[in-house]
Amino acid sequence: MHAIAIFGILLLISLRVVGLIIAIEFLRDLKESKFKILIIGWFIWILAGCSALLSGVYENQLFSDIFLLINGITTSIAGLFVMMGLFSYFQELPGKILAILSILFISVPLISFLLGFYNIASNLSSMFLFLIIVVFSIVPLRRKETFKNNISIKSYYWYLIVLLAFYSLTISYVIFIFQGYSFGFYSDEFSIPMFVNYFLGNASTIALIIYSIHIEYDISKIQKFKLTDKYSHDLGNLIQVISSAAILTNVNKDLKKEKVENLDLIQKKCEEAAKLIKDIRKNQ
Amino acid sequence: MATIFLIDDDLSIIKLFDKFLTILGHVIVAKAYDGEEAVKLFHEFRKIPDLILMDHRMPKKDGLTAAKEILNFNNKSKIIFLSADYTVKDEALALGAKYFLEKPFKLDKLSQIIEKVSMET
Repeated sequence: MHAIAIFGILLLISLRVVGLIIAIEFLRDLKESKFKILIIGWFIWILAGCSALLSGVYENQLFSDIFLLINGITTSIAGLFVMMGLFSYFQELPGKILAILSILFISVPLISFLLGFYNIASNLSSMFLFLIIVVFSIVPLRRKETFKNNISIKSYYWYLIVLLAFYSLTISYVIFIFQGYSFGFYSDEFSIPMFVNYFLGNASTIALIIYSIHIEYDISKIQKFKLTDKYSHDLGNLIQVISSAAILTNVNKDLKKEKVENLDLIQKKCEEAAKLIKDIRKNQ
Repeated sequence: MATIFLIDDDLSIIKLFDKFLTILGHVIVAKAYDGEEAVKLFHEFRKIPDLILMDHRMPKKDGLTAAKEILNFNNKSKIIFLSADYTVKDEALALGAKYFLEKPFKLDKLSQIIEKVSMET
């Protein structure tokens, strides 16, 4: 395996570790279950990188082919989980789809491999990965407004950058494969396509990490808004009851002077609290 | 003097508004504690009340949905929203509500609004 390929894969693994750590942090901070899908995705993606390295380490062809198969399957599965995790911010998807696609992504290349079609097995995994990227990019672009309503405009633009990076990677990879380069460039000598492949692979992973950070910011903002809204609503109702009760009690003319003064004080403080609620709402 | 239908999930608010409006001389014809009950009671009215005082955040059915169904049944109904959920103000007014009073408010303000909306034809 060429040094550029090893360096490219090591960098990819490091970036995926960063992605995994960020996703774990998000899950801890925001308690959004959708981060679990992302965490699984990033973790499998790290395994994919490790299996790519191992395929280059073994000189035995069978072991090398097995790790290539694992690399292909784990890359497509990881792509599925990561894309689905990021897509879930825009639209909820049933877990059944995730399960069916996962089984398909594992079984089809595995059967091809067991039948002796080693190259086809790896290419099938690549095809599945490209298919995921296409499917998960077309839907949000077709429903742009719904997408924009769920995330900020900045996140939307980063989503487009991620798509651009992945499309560039996918298209260039298909061209290179047709030119006769090996799967993942693991057994090739140094070439410009090899450099382009690893450069785009790392660039799209960085874009993906930045996009997920923007999404995290959007979610925490929405959560804060909901919390402020809930508290100002409940406080509003509470003050309504206290002030109304004070006014109605004050209607009684037989009350002692001291009690009347206290009720006036309650009303005054309620008005101050009402003003405070309005200020909180304004600053949301 | 107006006939009023009170809708709020907060029992204390219903009690206090009932007391206050009765002192002013209005007649509380019915009370509902959620949107679903409100719509059900409204369908049973022989005579439509002059005013409906409606909260928004309620169990089973929210105020906006209940108001929509009431207005679909009788588009002449006068609905005043009394809610601490100010985010639905525009939607409530667009729906056909006569006024949106944000909680907390002074009771004087409520009596002014009731008077104003009652006089509207």
